[in-house]
Amino acid sequence: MDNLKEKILKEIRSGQVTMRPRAYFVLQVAALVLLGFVVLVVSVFIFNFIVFSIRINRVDTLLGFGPRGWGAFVRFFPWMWLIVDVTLVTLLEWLLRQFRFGNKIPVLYLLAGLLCMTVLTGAVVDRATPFNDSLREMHAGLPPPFGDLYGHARHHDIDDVLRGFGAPPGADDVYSATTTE
Amino acid sequence: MDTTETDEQIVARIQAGDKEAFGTILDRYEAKLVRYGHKFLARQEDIQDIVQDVFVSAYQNIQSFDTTQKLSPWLYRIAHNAFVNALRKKSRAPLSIDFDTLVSHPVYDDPAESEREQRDMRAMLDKGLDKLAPKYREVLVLYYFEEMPYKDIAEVLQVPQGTVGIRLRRAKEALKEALPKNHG
Repeated sequence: MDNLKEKILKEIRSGQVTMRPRAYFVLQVAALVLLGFVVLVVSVFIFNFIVFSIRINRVDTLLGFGPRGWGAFVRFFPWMWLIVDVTLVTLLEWLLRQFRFGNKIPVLYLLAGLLCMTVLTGAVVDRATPFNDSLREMHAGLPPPFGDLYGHARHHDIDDVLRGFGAPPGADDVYSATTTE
Repeated sequence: MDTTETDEQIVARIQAGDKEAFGTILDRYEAKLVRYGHKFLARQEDIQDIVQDVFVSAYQNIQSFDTTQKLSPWLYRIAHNAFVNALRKKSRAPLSIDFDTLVSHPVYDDPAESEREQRDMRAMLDKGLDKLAPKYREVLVLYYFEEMPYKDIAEVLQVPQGTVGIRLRRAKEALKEALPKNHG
């Protein structure tokens, strides 16, 4: 076993094996923290957009129309965004596990906690602030992809479905009519 | 071999530039990691090479070690990763979900086993360790041979402490099942 010790010490003395500088690890942690923050902000934004999309398209009102309404709800729910968001939250969970405190919490609990936090924050941003409505109003002046995102947020085909169910018109609904004297 | 300094004090000297002090860490941990490797991997070959890589990796990353923490779990963590990679290369097993870590388990205090119970368990382990799955082998080796408390094992395996307790319990049950019925 002394052979192993001497072999390693020889490599250290000759400079073949060197210590990584402390700055390397400081930068590594900083990069992880920054990446974690970016992922958190993006996932909160996406969930906020999901809530906004449900609100302006009145997708949630479909649930009040029985099984046909539920089917329509499943059709119009923004599933792609939800999948992207859950993927981001899973990435965030992995990032947190790179730190010692992250390993003390069971996987499902950490994931559930992060999902709840992003869902809640996203919902609060949409319902309690004019953030989404303001962006929607000025969507033409927004850089991509936000311009397209907010420009196409409203899906008028849902209006036809809702009218078919006998739902009252929403604020954004457009009705064609002929004026008579 | 200097026995007066703690591991963490020695690492602080290494971090400050005393490269030769790493020799003391090698003296203290080489035999332990080789034993850990033999028992975890349940085979004889290439343990020395893996242990050499472990110490090289430890030296390269020594500046990331926080000297207010214990060195032992940190070093065993590096060894654990190296041994797990070696196992994966040999078995080509697909990635599997570790269900133990998904939910919380009650945190048991380390059970106060008598000296005799511990001796009997080590004897059973010598007979049946190679019959167990790696995740059960490892927790038994860390607890009974490396004599680590649950907290340190949790740090090595990077799982919650409750998971260590449950895994140890299941490992002992699996060991009893794996051994012939007439074993005491």
